[in-house]
Amino acid sequence: MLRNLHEEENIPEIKVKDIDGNPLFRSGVEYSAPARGNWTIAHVSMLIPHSHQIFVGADGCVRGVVLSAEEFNGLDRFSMITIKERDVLQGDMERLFIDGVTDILKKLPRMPPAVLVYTSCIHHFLACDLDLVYRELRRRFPLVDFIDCYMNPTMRKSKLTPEENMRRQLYAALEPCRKDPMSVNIIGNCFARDRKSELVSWLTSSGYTVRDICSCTEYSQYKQMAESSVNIYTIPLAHAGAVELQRRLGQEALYLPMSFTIEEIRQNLTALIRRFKLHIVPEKDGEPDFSGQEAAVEAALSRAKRVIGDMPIAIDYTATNRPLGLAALLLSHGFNVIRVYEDLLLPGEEQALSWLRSNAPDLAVHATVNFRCRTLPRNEAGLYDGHLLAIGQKAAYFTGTKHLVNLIENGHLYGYSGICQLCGMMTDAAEHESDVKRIIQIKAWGCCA
Amino acid sequence: MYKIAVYGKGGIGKSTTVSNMSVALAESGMKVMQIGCDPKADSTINLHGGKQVDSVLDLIRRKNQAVTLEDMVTHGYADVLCVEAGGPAPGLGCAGRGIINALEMLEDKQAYEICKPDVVFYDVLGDVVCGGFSMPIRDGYADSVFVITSGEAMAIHAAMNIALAVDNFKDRGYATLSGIILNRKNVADEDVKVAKLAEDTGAPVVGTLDFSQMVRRAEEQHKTVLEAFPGSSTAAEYRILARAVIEAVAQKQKTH
Repeated sequence: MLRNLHEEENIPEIKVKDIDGNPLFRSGVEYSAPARGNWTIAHVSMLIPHSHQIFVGADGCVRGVVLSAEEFNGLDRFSMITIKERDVLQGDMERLFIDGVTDILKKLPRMPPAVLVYTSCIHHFLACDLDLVYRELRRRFPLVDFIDCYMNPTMRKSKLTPEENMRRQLYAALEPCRKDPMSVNIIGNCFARDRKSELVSWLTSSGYTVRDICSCTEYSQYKQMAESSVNIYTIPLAHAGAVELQRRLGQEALYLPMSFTIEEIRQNLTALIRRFKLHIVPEKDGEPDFSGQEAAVEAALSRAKRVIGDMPIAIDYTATNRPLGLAALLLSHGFNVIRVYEDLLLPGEEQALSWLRSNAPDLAVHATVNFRCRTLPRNEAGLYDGHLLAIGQKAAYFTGTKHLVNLIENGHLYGYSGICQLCGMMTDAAEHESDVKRIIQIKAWGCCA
Repeated sequence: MYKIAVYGKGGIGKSTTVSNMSVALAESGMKVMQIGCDPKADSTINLHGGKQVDSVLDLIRRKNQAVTLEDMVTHGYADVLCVEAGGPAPGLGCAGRGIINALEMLEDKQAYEICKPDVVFYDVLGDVVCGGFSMPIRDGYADSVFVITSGEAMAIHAAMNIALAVDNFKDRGYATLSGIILNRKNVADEDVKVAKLAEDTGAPVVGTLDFSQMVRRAEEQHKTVLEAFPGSSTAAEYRILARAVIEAVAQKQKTH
């Protein structure tokens, strides 16, 4: 039966004090805002240097990834095998798969060191024997690392999400080898942590080699990540990958989450110092003394506040996986955060939510995918003469502002220095307008083939 | 670990035979897991006194990824570990998908590593009709296939189809046909017909079960023959058959 959803109570905004479940809004028909800077599974895999992607699926399924590949100039690293109904009726999906990949690889001008093959929902519905397929492909191309990847959105609410799966499979070609205790990986991000961040600079200045797929330009550098003895990960999306590498390669998994809470940053950096026996900061009462770093954060926030003043701020979840944590930090320093855009309470946000309930109960949390988001006015910035600061592309799109902090998935930020950098980015964005329309149309900001 | 898939025409007595073999092997000290790969989810019903247990698909529908190994694996008579794959409502959805989901879920939850069975029986629906029904014979699941048949033409026809399907997969390294089990229905020239099937498929007849009212009577009590009539000649036949099946599989493992 057809229903007019517009007649139903389905408000895509909620106050923090009224949050009583997760997801925050009822699931239903979804809207996809044309703010496209966050990376998809097709972009993340491009981080493996010189790798080649092959998508196997129906025409309609691969249409989007073809356009993506074209957009990031990656068509020479992209191929596809389209599945027709006759292939399903024929039954031997495995043969189509093996012969298709073989044909593509033989026609490439140069054999790639790694091939990421994306299967789609149909393979899983038909129980395609992927073990058999990859066994045969590895026999035919022994010098190629085949990585099984998954574009199966119909399974996104069971097992791992495609995004979690991709961040796990990104490291699937790493092979067991002798471990170097002085080598450390940072895994799971789309951007390398800033070299000046406490995380990277403290390790490197203490003699550790810090490896990150985002900094690899050669395939051999990527493979060398297998030598590291520890994998540090900073976002929940990378958890499955860290666990898998621990199981498969014996690399210790160390979760030091990206945070905007001073106490949590302190805990993370203390854990870092203890685990790697770093002698970087002075100690006070047997604990590392971060007062210098924390004073720098306070100073940066004060400077930013002086420039930004009471300019309204909106934050969205594509900028950071801790949007409530960022809102809490800014509100606690006098900034005028008016809204957070997200559809789910993200892992690790419990404390921030609790703080907000007590200190900013009327803070609005607005949906981004609810169908009503399609028709809502995009001119809120106009109410403030255009002076509205958006942290994240979706926040900019929904508010219609030109003052954008173009931050995707935490960017390079981490730790105390990350907050200081963010303050600089916010100040800059508050003072200067951007060509927001042009920027947010670019899919996977920062991705290149 | 011996991993065995049992196929055969619908109604030929697969679940009854497998359940009795499971009990026979459990009584001999082996840890046995019986996985019913049929949407009807009744493979292990006589190991539970006639009580239907939750199938893996039911559990997934209800609890999604929160399903635990303890939810899926129940303890039946003689401590046989029982799993029912289950499936969609009759006439709807995809039955093969049910088996795929169940076997993948068992693997995800490390059922074999944690339960450490000595023997796993996959009791599979009548015919290898789609990819789902070939799952139990794939690499990593069953190593050996046994087909149950009588001398009835349709049963032999189904057995031959199964043997051909298994043969089709030989290049893939799937399980191979290890034997035929004759479950007599007392039709004319039954032994001769089944011997011919064995010759055509190249798989030996590893055991024979005589037609017995004991089976029906035990089922009326919702029990296996070994539980209801442990001293009967039928129970003895099941014990001999179970031993023969294990010996055939062990011999095959030794040869390979």
